[in-house]
Amino acid sequence: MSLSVTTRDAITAEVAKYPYKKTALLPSLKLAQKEKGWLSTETLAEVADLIGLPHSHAIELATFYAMLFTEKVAPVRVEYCLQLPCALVGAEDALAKTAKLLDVQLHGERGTRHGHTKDHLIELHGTVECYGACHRAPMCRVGDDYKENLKTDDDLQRLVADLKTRAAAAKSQAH
Amino acid sequence: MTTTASEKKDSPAASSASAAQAAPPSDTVTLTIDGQKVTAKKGTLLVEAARAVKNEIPVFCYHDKLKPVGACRMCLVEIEKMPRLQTACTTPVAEGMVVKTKSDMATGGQNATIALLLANHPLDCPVCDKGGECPLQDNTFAHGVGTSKFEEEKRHKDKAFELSENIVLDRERCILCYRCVRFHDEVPGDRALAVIDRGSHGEIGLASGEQYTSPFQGNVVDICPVGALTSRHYRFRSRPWDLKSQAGIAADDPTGSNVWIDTRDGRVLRLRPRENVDVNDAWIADATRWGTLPAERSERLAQPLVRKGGKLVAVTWFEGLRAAAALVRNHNTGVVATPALTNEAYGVLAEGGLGDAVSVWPRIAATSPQGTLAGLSSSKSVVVVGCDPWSEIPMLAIAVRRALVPFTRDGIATGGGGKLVVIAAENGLARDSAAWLKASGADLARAVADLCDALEGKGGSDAAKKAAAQLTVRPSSLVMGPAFAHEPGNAALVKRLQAALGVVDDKGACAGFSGAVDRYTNARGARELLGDKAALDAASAAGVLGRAGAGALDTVIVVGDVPHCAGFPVDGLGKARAVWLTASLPKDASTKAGAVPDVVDVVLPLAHVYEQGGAFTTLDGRHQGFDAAGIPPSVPGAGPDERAKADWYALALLAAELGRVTPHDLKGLRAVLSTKHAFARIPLNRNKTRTELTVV
Ligand code: SF4
Ligand code: FES
Ligand code: FES
Repeated sequence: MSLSVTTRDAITAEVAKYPYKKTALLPSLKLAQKEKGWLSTETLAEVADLIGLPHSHAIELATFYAMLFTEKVAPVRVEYCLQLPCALVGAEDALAKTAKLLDVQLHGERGTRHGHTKDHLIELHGTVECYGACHRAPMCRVGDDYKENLKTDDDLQRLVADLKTRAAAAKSQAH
Repeated sequence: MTTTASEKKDSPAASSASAAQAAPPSDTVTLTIDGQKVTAKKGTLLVEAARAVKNEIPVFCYHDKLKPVGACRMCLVEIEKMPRLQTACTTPVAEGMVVKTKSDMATGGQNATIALLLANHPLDCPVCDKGGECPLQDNTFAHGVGTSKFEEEKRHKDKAFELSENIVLDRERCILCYRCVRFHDEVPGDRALAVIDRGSHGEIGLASGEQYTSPFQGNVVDICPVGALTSRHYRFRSRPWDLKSQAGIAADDPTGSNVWIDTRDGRVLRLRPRENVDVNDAWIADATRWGTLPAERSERLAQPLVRKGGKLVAVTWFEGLRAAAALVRNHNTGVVATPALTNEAYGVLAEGGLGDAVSVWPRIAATSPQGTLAGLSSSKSVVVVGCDPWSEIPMLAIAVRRALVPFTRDGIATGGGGKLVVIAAENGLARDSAAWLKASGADLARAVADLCDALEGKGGSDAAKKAAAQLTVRPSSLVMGPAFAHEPGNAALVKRLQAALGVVDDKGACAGFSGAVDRYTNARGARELLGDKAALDAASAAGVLGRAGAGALDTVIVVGDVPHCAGFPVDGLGKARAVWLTASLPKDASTKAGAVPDVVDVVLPLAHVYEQGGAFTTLDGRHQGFDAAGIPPSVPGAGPDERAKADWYALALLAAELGRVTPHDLKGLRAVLSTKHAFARIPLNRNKTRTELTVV
């Protein structure tokens, strides 16, 4: 499935902004990811062709940056920061509780901890680096939004309710 | 002009100012490396300057034919007045620089780099193909501490990952020097490999799930400084210390790639590029590397075959030659020679008079190209018509690309800046072309005429005008496919295009390259040595096949095998009987159905090119001699005479059998030929090379 006309136009507009078309690759991949949720081999090739770059440039860049996804991700992706400031105020705990509330089995050790709901609509990750929101730790990132000050059970309940709404929306959109 | 150490100590600024006043502006600088004064051209990298005085600074990622990247930190050196260690592979020389490559600080840095690289390296040298010729082993031995403090578990990755049918990648061994990625990026420009992921997760892979189809894959095996990239054709077949390397010339490449032929007990096991900056630099095409390896010696025909009572019977050379001579003596005889024989063989044919006529088959261009491939590589305007060098003669594509994109020599970018216009159906250099006017068959002539119109300012289509606008700078070159150049109707058009491009100046000299490129190894040698005597088109009425087909010949001697087309011109022979000199038959050819065509009465087995001496002439007229590397197939238990023979030797023996005396050894034969032919005066095996490949 190729990219929508809107995204393709937006990419063309990016290319026009820079003296070197290679510079447009990163913003263009972000645009493509916004539409598709992740960057498949075909999407990478499509973006590279659209800009006029070798496919290898696209795959190198996409795999270099952790926030560009080259493997399929769930529509709702929750990334808990477990770095020092967050960890000191209970981020590990918050992640574990969120998982429990969502009935998610977490795998992996510190640094690779992750899991997903049975319907694959929500993913939990404890793998990311500091998001620069240490002053409102603990925190997690959901899509483009920051959820901060996740200290009490109430905070987590609210978070989970929001996640479920997002999942339901994604599900109905898919149908 | 050199500044003294005391001057520099007093005031660096003053000393450089006085140096500038005292010396006329020169393009060299003088520096000190390990106490030794070195004068080098401005821009020279430290690692090269040190190499020039035989001071080898250890490297992994640096390769003198690729852009320096400073990725591995192996080349750390101490430079006075600089606070930290510097990478010698990215630091250009400067006036008065004082460099220490063996100080405690420098050695410490080198030790640490080795320790870090080895932390995650699997150290599986006993089962690694590279063992014994591995820069990682060598550098560890020379610059490592010999022990490891790393006690954690090593990282695990793919072990024998098949990148293609030719190449296996061991991702644990890779030290991420990026040489392989840079090679594809810079030399053929096909960006075939990519670095996937980052940091310790980084690994070499293919771009976006694509296939690894580059025709230059084998070169990454040569330049990989560890055993991460290995050749599936050579894996686990030998250890480097059991191999004997002999200088040779590629058996299939009309540009004359220089190779090392690595043999073990006389068997040719592998080919590697032999550095020659004027020919193949340090690269060869995969077709040469793997496509020209001889079949197993014991599996090939070693004895002559003679047809007796309808059946082919193996005989001694004595009998075989007698039977062949009987077919020639008192019979109208013609010779068909392929354009892949050695010059010595053509020499015997030209001098020895084996038949009334000699023809070259398959057909080759009637005239040789003007200019040189070096001229092609330094052209500013290049036009390719009716061929695709990339798929037909890959090393020619590299020569063309050098005119377009800067390449690296001794660490410094050079050349490039030319424009390429291609008029053909296929174009492997599409990404580097200024214009590609797609055309094939009869349309080629039309497209060329269109481009001529545009070049001459007499109109032409918009596409042609755009293309012509790219072709204004001289020198210029013209590369033509033989089929287009052969067409008699195109002769005037070719002249017109040459004139419009200005490939030849008023005095008739060609600074670039111009002509038709045959894809056969020694088409130029055949043309130059047989030209006056032979019809270059065997199938024409005057050619040997034409005459045989018309019933005018009783016997045809066919010499050689032809890669890229049917191996034997069965259809053209009419009622004539044939003698076939060939290197392509299997041991059981006499009984194997279809191996030997019915018209053949005598088969004389030839040695493979890599098992014989001789000389080839490249398509731009460079004569390159070579000695035998491997041992040809022989009959077990029989005398030394009972083996497949060099092409020129078999022909000389046949000439002798017919009473036309020709020297029987290469030296004597060359001495006779040398009075008339320049190639025979070039010593075998003495081609100009700068150095052996220094990295592997
Ligand atoms: S595979 Fe070899 S050449 Fe390529 S980056 Fe790894 S070590 Fe370097
Ligand atoms: S440490 Fe978690 S946001 Fe900075
Ligand atoms: S950093 Fe200089 S050789 Fe790799």
